[in-house]
Parts: sequence; structure tokens; C-alpha cells
Amino acid sequence: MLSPAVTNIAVMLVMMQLSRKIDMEDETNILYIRIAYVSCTVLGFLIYQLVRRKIVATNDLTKLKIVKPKNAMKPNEPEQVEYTTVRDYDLTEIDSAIKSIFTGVAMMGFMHLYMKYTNPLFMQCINPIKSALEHNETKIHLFGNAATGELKRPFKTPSLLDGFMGKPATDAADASKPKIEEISSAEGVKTE
Amino acid sequence: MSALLGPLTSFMETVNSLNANYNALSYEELTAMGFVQRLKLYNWTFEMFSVGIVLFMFITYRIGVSMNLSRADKFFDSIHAVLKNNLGFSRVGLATSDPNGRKMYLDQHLHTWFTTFATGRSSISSVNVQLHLFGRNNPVNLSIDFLIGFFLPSLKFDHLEEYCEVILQPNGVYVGSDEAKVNGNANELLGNFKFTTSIVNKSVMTEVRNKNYFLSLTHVTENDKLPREYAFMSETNQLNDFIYKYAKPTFNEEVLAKVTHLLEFISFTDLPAQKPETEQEWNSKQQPRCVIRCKVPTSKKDLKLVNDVVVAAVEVFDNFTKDLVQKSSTVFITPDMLKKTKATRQQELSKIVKNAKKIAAEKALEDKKEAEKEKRRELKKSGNLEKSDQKMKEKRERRLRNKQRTRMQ
Repeated sequence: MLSPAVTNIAVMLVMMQLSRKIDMEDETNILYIRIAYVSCTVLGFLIYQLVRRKIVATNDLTKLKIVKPKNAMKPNEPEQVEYTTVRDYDLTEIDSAIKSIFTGVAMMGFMHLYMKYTNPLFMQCINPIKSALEHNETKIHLFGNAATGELKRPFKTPSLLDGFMGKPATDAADASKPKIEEISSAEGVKTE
Repeated sequence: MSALLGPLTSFMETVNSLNANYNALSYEELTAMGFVQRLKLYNWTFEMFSVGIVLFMFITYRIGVSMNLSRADKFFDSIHAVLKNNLGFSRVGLATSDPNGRKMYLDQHLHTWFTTFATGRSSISSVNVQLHLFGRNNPVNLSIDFLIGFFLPSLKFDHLEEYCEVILQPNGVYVGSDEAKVNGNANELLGNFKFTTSIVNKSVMTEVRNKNYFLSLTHVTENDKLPREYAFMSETNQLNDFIYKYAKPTFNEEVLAKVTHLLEFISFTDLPAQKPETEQEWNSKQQPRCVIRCKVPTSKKDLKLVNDVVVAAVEVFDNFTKDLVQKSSTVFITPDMLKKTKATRQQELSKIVKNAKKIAAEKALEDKKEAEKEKRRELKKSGNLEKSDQKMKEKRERRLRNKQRTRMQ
């Protein structure tokens, strides 16, 4: 399966071709594009909010110990260990996704309202919904997938090259990825 | 740049255009008008708008200050009542110039930082209560802080959070009744408080470990005894039961389980919150205490819950001190446990000492380099630099020759 990064590029190329065929000077077209962009963004936001509600309702307080890799710029500093819960980790992930929607809206607002470009608005129509549906948290909490393999916390970020090569995002041997230890509720027995 | 300044320029033009008619009049025409006529002709929209903003700032300032003061009053009223009436502290609050009056709390920084103090009780040397509230007097600043914290969390200041912290210090003295004698070995008994055990809310585990040095040295364990919202952070797993041993049996259900939305951690420790940099600092900053950190309670129910946690911590100190004074056979902290914590701390101390030595060596090297630079500067000033360089060169050459001679032999 193609990685989201690759499909993003494909969607972008298709939208670019489509945008050439639309008259971006026509006020009616601009209105429709604006409506489409706002609706898609709101829908993406609502999907994230739905997932957020599910996370809060699930309230999984399993403890996670995340060992962050050493900073390559500071080799003398020890590895950073973070203690959190599945619930808080999921909420952090979903909040950062919501923040990215706001950032996108701010950038599009600047480009469209101030710089008067309509093309980016059209090209970014699908992305909010696509990102929301492809988000790991959505897969786990909305589509009911098990949090194993690629969906194991902490989530890995697939590189663009891996996406093209069809490699999975997970690579256990990769030392640069954060490691995780889950501890069961009984007397701190490590499950991994 | 002009594109960015465009809106500002057009705004300024709009403001100027408000009084275009007035400004178009000549000096003679203006002087010919009366004062009232001139006032009527002038468009005061911008001035009214400015005064409106100033009034808005003043009103929000007053509202913000009164909100903070009302919260602080509620909080300190409630905690003072518990400290005085339920826990029997003889001096609660701060002394004033009036011999009969006592001040409830001290506040600083535009009513955002509050503190109070209580003392005079068996087992507890003092209670220090701190409360930090948002700067509600400045909503603009508050909203900017919120936006920065939301979009750039790494730039967020720690002190922007609202919290209350209660610090109880034990004194190693236990007096069961009015007639009972005070034990004279209080300082010796305080040696048994040299450990760290805590109950921490799972939602803030990393945050509190980063901010509190004494928690960063502990192991994190979950336990079925605890409500699932909490984890233990203790130096050794054996210490986990300390609080349960000395608190009331209903501590779990009546206190911990109900205060999950407020309590961040309750920790019995003697280590400092800031990491010590030297061995002297390590030794001097050790002070047995119990630290309770909570979100700020506002409702009566929440205030009662926070007070219950304080009461539970006092009970733990009471019962533990009593065990120590009476030399009970069931005393929880054994020399073996203290030995283990001492060994762990010794390792941490050796790391600190090593680090301090490294820093001192680096500083000495820097000082030496600086002294050499200074010496060269002085030589240059006096004109002896070339002579000195020549001497050094001759010295190096002589050494090289000697080395070669030794090799030849």
C-alpha cells in the first residue's frame, strides 16, 4: 500500500491539472472553491474531534515509557525518558493534528485573502479530510484497528523514500526511532 | 515591505480622514469660531475609541484582580480553617503590626503569587502554602501566552500554570497529650526521613519528573492498590507502601480516588526540587518534607478534597513520628531500606561530584588561558612581547635539540 506522503503528491498533481481547467478569476468559481475548502477543513476538524472524544471515553491509562533517542547535536547528554499514558499520548497526537489544521488555515488565509491566490485553496481542499482519515489515531479509534505493527505507539514517521519503495514505516532495528516499554498494571511487570 | 505596511498606512489615512473637514479650515477660520463650536466640529471618534480601550483595560484589570483575590480568599479561608481547627496548629497566617490581628496571606506580582504559613504543632515544624494564579488583570497578555503555549509549547513558561503547593516539614517531635513530655532526640529521628516516596498522577508523570529533582531519581511503578489514575514514584519499591501504612485505611477511597482531577503528586522526600551542582549543595539542601501539588480548587467540594489530602499527609507524619518516638516494632522504615536509598544516592552524588570536578577543571583551564592572554597584552603594552617570544622560541629549540641528543645516545 502506498504511503500517505506518496498519495499526497499524487493528489497534489491531479489537483494541479484540474486547477488549470478552472477559471480562477470567476467570482462564482472562487465562491465554490471557498465553500469546498471551508467544508473540507471543518469536516477534517470534526473527524479529529470525534477521535478525541473516543480517546477520552476509552480513557486507557496504561503506562508508557518512551525512550527518546539521543540528540545527535548533544552526544554527551543521556537518552531522555518520558513517562506517559496511552490516553495522554493519543491526545497529544490528535492535538498536534488539530494544530496542523489551524496552521494550514492560517497559511491559506494569508495566501488567499491577502495575496489573492486561489490555486492553493483549491489544491488543499482534499488534504484535511485525507489526513484526518489516514491518521493513526483515526485508524485505531474510529476504524477499530489494533494498535500493533505500524499502529504501535509511539508511531513511526515513514520517510518519503520508504513510501515509494513500498516499505512499511516500522523498523524495529532502527535505533533512531523512539523505543517504548509498556508496563502492566500488576507490580510493574514489563511486557516488552 | 510596502505590501506589509499597506494596511497600517491605509488605517492611518482613515484616521486622518476623520477630521479632514476640520483640518481643511484655515487658522483664521478656526480662531473665528468659538470654543464650543470648534469642539462640535471636531470628529472625536478616534479619541473616544482610545479612551474606550483605556477604560476597557482598567475595567478588565479590576475584574481580573478581584477574581484572583476572591479565589485566593476562598482557598486560604478553607485551608486556614482546617489547619487551625482540625489539625490544631497554634499559629496560622502571618503576624501583623497589630498584636491581635493576623494576615491571612502575602501576595505579590499583581495578585498572582500568594503564600501563607502555619506552625506550632506536634510532628510538624511548619506548613508553607503557595498559590499561583493566572495574571487575569491583563487579558491581552494572558491570551498571547495561551496562543504561544498552544502553537509553540516549547516556548511556554512553567510559571504560567495555575497551581497550589503545600509543603509540610516534620520536626521529629511527638506529643500525644498536653501532659506528655517532649522527646529530646528529634534531630536523630529526622534521620529516618531520608527517602523519597510519592504518589503521582499519571497525566503529569514526565512533567513533574522534569521539574522536581527528587522525583527524577525515583522508579515509576503501577500498583493494583492505587486508583488507576496514579503511579508510585519511589527510590525503592519497598517504600511504595509507606503512605498506606501510616494514612487512614480509607485514604484510597475517600481521598485519592476522589481527587484525581486535582492532585498532581504527593511526595515524602528530603531531596531538593532543583538539582544540586556540588557536594556542598547536595548536603545543605536536604530537608525532610512532604510536598503536595494540586491544581487550584475553586468549588467547595474541591477545596475540601485538597484539605483532605493535607490532613492525610499530617496523619502520615503523626503516625510515623509516633512509631519512631515510641520505638515501635512495626515501624515501616527500616535501617535496611535507608541503606538501600543511601547506596542509590551515593551513586547520584558521585555523578554530581564528577560533573562538578569537570566544570571546575574547564573553568581553571579557561582562567589559565585568560591569564596568559592578559600577560601577553601587558607585554605588548610594555614593548617586551618580541623579547618574550624570542626567549620562548629559543627555549623550544633548546628542548628540541636536547630531545634529539637523547635519542642519538
